[in-house]
Amino acid sequence: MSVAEAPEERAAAEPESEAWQPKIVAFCCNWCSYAGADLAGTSRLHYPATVRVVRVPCSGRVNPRFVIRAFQRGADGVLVAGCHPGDCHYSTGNYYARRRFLLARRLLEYMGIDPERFWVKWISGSEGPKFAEVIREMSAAISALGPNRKAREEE
Amino acid sequence: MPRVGVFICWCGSNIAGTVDIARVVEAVAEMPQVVHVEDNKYTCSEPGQASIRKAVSDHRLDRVVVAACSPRMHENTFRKTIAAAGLNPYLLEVANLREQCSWVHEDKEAATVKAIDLVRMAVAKVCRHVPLFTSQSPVTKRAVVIGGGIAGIQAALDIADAGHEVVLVERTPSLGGHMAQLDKTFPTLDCSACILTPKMVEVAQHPKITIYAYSEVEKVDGYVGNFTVTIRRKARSVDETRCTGCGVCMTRCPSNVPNEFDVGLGKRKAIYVPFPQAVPNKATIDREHCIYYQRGRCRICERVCEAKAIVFDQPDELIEVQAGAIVAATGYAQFDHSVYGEYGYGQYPDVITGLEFERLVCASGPTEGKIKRPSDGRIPETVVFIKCVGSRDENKGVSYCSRTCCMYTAKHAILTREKIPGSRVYIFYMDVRTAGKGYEEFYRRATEEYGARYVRGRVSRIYPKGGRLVVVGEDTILGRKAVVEADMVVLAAAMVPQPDAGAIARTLGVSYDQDGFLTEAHPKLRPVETNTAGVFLAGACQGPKDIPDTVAQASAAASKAAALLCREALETEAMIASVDESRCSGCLWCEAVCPYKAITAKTITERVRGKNVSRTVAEVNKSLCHGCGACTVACRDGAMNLLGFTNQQILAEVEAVCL
Amino acid sequence: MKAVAQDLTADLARLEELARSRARELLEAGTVRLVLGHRQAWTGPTAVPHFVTTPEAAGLLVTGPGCAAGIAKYVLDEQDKEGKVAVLARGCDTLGIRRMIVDKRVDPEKVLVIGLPCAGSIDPAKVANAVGADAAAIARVTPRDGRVEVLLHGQKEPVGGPPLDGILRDVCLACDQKVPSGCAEVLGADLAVLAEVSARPPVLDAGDAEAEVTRIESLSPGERYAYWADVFSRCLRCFACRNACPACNCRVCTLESYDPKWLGHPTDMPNQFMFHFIRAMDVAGRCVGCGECERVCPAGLPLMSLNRKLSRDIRLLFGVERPHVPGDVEPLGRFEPEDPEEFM
Repeated sequence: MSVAEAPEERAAAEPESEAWQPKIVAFCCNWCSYAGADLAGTSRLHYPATVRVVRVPCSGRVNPRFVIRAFQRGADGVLVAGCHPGDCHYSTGNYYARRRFLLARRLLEYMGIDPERFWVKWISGSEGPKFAEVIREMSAAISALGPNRKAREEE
Repeated sequence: MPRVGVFICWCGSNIAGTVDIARVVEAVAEMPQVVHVEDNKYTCSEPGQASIRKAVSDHRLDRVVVAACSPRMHENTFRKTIAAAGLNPYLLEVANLREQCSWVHEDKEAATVKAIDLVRMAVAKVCRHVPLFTSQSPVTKRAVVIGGGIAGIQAALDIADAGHEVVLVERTPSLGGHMAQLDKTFPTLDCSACILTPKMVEVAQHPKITIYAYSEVEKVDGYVGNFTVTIRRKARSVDETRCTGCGVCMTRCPSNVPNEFDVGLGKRKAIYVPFPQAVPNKATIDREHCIYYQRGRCRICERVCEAKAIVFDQPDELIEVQAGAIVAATGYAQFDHSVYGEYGYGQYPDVITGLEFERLVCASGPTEGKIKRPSDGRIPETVVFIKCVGSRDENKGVSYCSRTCCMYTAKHAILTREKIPGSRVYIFYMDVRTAGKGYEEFYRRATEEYGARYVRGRVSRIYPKGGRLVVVGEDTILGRKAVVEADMVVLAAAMVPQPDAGAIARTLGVSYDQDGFLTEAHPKLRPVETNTAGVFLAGACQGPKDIPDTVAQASAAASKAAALLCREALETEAMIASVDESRCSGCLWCEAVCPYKAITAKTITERVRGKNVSRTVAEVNKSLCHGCGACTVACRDGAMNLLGFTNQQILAEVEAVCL
Repeated sequence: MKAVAQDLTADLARLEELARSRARELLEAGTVRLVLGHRQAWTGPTAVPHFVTTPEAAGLLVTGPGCAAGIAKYVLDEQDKEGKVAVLARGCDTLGIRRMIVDKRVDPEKVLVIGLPCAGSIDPAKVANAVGADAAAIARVTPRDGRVEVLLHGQKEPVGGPPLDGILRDVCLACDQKVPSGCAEVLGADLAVLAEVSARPPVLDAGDAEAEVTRIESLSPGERYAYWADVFSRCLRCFACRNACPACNCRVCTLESYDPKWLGHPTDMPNQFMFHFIRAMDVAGRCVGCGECERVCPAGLPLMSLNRKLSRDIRLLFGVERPHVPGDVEPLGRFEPEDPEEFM
């Protein structure tokens, strides 16, 4: 079992290969954020190829356990993207997601996972540019943090 | 063991231009469970689909992954393809290699690696797909149209003519909306009331249309085909079955109240019929201004009403209507220009909006059709029109163009010149957008025939001087200041949604954009549907538009609604929640989070230790469940799962984004 | 700290008599088939759960500070059987039972909750520390004159011990349910000293009780991870915490599920992390603060630090005043349109 160091120590201790790119798993809701991501595509906006989108019907479908599993399986960052509160296609799903993830991120932080690796953003179906911007920002931020080693399964 | 077939699309060069298809094919062929992989230039085309069908048969595939454009584009297309090949349509997964890969990544190597990952995720997920089935739900053959303006009227007529019942709900005391306030309509200069009133009467007389005027939709429950709409019939304090619309009460009522129909320029009584051609032609008492309700005295109307129709203690009435489809036609409002200090903060009485001008110029208006200054009643000699007040202004107004103002300002210019011979008309503009049929010609008439003077530039200030208004603007074409001493200024205020558009949207369960307009399902291909099945849009509530476009959209919405109502039954969603009763604890925390009240408690009986024991489990109503998955997360022990997005499927996708 | 002016001992003894006679009465009348309470342990000063099915066995029931074990959870096991169960419940037990009733796992018709006012239960480690002996050497602890008397094994006379407040468990010092509520009946409501002691506000306020939470929050992320890695390295995955917790009342536990397999058997950090994360999130907003998880853990893991952290966050973020008192809908089953967004 690995006990990881603080981020500052990690960066010094682990020389990463030049080619390391963060792996970001993004749970996107079909009606808003996934549509926003599609719009970024039709608008030909560019962002780093670090993200892998898992489509869900609603941000309320995302169980915090999925987030942990993503980190376990090698994700360096996890994004949950849903409709703006009040505009959920299923009317209330993202309200529950909001509460749940407020707590989940605090618990992750408490248990020592860097909270900056877990993002929750509200992106509507018309916000293609915002989706691209979020991925760009997140890629940069996760790159700066380096690879996640905490709670990660051994290869 | 699943036998997965993977079909990778070039999409012409859309995907192949960035993603190395050959490499993806090679990598996919190595994936476990994949027994067949091929690539196609255009998988969605007929040959492409035929190739899928053939492969399903040749290779005995029981799961299919199509790696192509977004599933939001073609998931349904490919579901039909594999259904035609004999597979359950839900044994399909689409990997998005276009909108979320080739179109957004410049780095070809990274895009190819990502494409392989995306296909791997789709394969992992599809291996856990099981056949899913829809069921049937009945359709109530009635539509509710919300809004009694021209959009709602047209939609109601079209749906009723198609043979279905319609309930038309309008919140003001009469149908007609803003179109009833207009004088003449462009580009033909038809009298608005003359073309609107016959339609209003047709609605009133149509055997299949029920009108609830002075009513509002309070709540919408249910789902497509089976909505329950709760309508509040506000109390008019008048018995509609007795009132003959004779108008005697209005002549005797002592209160004088600013008239909303005249946008505050005229007065009405506390008991009133909004305008002479009102449908229904029934009186209404405005309780906030009625002396009896405010101070307990008067009741003159009651004494003089021969039909004995006044009912002071009339309560609101709540009515539940069952409907299969809903059309939202809630219309627009005018932008409040008082944010513009340069135009006087809404405090100069002779600076008015386009709608107020319509009431002045309208024969049934407060000045009987004479264009008079609100301040002193004089006929103006010089009228200045300012366009784009609020529109196209990201700083203080709205960012969009309101579409109708260029035409109605040209119309106002023509009417002014007609009614006031010798008058001078100046129009300050940024652009002139007159794109419809006959519109450009109409604008040319305004300048060439009627001598309206168009000045390209903005107005920086209006100030009063000796009873007139000095308009200081710029003529950018001539490159100099343009100052006009005017008697009246008309602002083309932006067309904005109703102030409670957000609340309306939430009641209907539809989305709205940052400007408050209700959102269509697709801006090009589905302009009258919303993302909420069974709710359609018509008119300015969806975006600024003029009467011809409104009528066209209303008919379009009506045709969609009628097509829905024609069906005997609707297919329910197949990707719904499902309870594993052997695990379910019966805690029903799922019920608390379901937005559609689709979960109820059910008692089941089991044999435990030799005895029959009853216990409670959750049950999902197949017709009500929309498949959001909130229950699945609320369920701690995993008894609830969402078919099509099960815990196992999502975990498999996450696992496939490998270390 | 206000000392107990009069002797609690007499009231505690009287309460025990009331409990025994009530149990006897209920069993004789056949109103219930089982009374859940405590009896003296075979060794040591604490009491263990006692399942009384005959009027005679009622004579073994004990109440008082020795009763640390929570007995609410046993009600769940009894649900399958016919007939009614009575529980001699302290405040923590009543909350646990209410939790299971709100979760629809316990039928309120099948349980008779008899409330017992409580002055707190002892922490043997604190006693041992106070008298300078080994915890295993303590035979009995009796409150007397505001302090406790500690009898060690092999001794004839007890030694004077510290004040009662000094040796109560932390959960008891923080408890605001010492007078149980929502019970069908309450025994000993007229026992004046006990009533006065149990009506006092908690010695430890929320801030004190959450001191450990605050301490952990003040560490750096690396230190925090190291702390929990160390804690979890001792976790046996024995499931005692889950077994003892009244909020963990699912028929089939997700932590043992093979499909989906949320976590594997190995006790490596990723799996330990998942176990405790899942349990903490599932219990979030539903924890009644009884502390049973921590009490029963054979490895002595500070599990309440996880639950208290989330209880506190729920209080701060969602304005839920007392998250440990079960309401009709749990905090995560509700929302406010104006819920905070923090990092979103």
